[in-house]
Amino acid sequence: MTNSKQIKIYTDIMKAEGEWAAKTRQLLADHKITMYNLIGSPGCGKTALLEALLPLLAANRRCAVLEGDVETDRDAQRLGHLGIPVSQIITSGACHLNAQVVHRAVSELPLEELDIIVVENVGNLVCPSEFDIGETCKLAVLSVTEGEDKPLKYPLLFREAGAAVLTKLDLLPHVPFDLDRCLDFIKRVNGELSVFRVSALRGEGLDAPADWMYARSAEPPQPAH
Amino acid sequence: MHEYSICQNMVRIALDELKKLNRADARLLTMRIKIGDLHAVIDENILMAYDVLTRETPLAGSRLELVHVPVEARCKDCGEMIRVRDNFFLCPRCESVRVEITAGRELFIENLEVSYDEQQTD
Repeated sequence: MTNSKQIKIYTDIMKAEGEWAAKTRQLLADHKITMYNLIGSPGCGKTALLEALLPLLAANRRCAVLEGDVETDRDAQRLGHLGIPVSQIITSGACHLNAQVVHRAVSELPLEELDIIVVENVGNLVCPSEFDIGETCKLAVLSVTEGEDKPLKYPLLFREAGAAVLTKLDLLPHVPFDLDRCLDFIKRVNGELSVFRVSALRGEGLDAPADWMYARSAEPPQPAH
Repeated sequence: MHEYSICQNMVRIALDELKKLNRADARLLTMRIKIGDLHAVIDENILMAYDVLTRETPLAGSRLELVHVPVEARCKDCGEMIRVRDNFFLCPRCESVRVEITAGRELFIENLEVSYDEQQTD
């Protein structure tokens, strides 16, 4: 006779992810490292933002970058001249970085020599927001060449992020992007979010996000006398 | 398509639970999961991933029940409970933006219905 049985389990589907993320958090805490998880659409200017921001960050903090891409190490090559450790993670098709892969990549960095790690996630507004990779803080990146209603369409990222960076402000006069509406939409989704407006191309507005990122990181240890 | 990764985790968890029963003939009939609406999980995508990922496993042919949980929040200033509509996280009573999410982030397996032959022992 065939029986059926109900198993009530209430198991968190992302439990395994959460365990890897917790390991990474512990590793970061042990080394007093702050890790930012940069999330935005393909082409929103995440790599250009890093190219402009990292020299500012690196002036006061010891930085490294983890580059997540579906294919190629082109982004890592772009950042190669900055003179900081850059590791490329190729996801081979996956639309986001997962906690286990990031844990391995973080473990391989020279952690004793770092204060800040910036992870550039795979270009995608939806999936990376769903996956905790052990970061200290998510940063949402949105460009003025996208729709101003993105925060309403993809609220999870804007709810989870610690700050949002609006990029390509230099293009604002040329595109039908309503900045005030966008800021209003962000406010409706997450009124406590810090929003920075930058033009990486012109090097404008970068001090504010750099200061914000410093403020959340530990100072490098002073050399012993 | 984050549904595929989510589904991979679901399948792994269910196979582990089936293994714990220690019955070679145990098969899954139904899996019920709760999904908070903040996760933007599309039913069609997760059902398709489930179909693909359960093939040739003891989960093959089982039914996936999706229970959606609407997004709710609480105003940190006046305590008002808010049913969030159209992703507007604003307090309708005092217009505060300081709201905390109380529901809508769920992502868990609630129940597994398993069939097995009563005669068979370990």
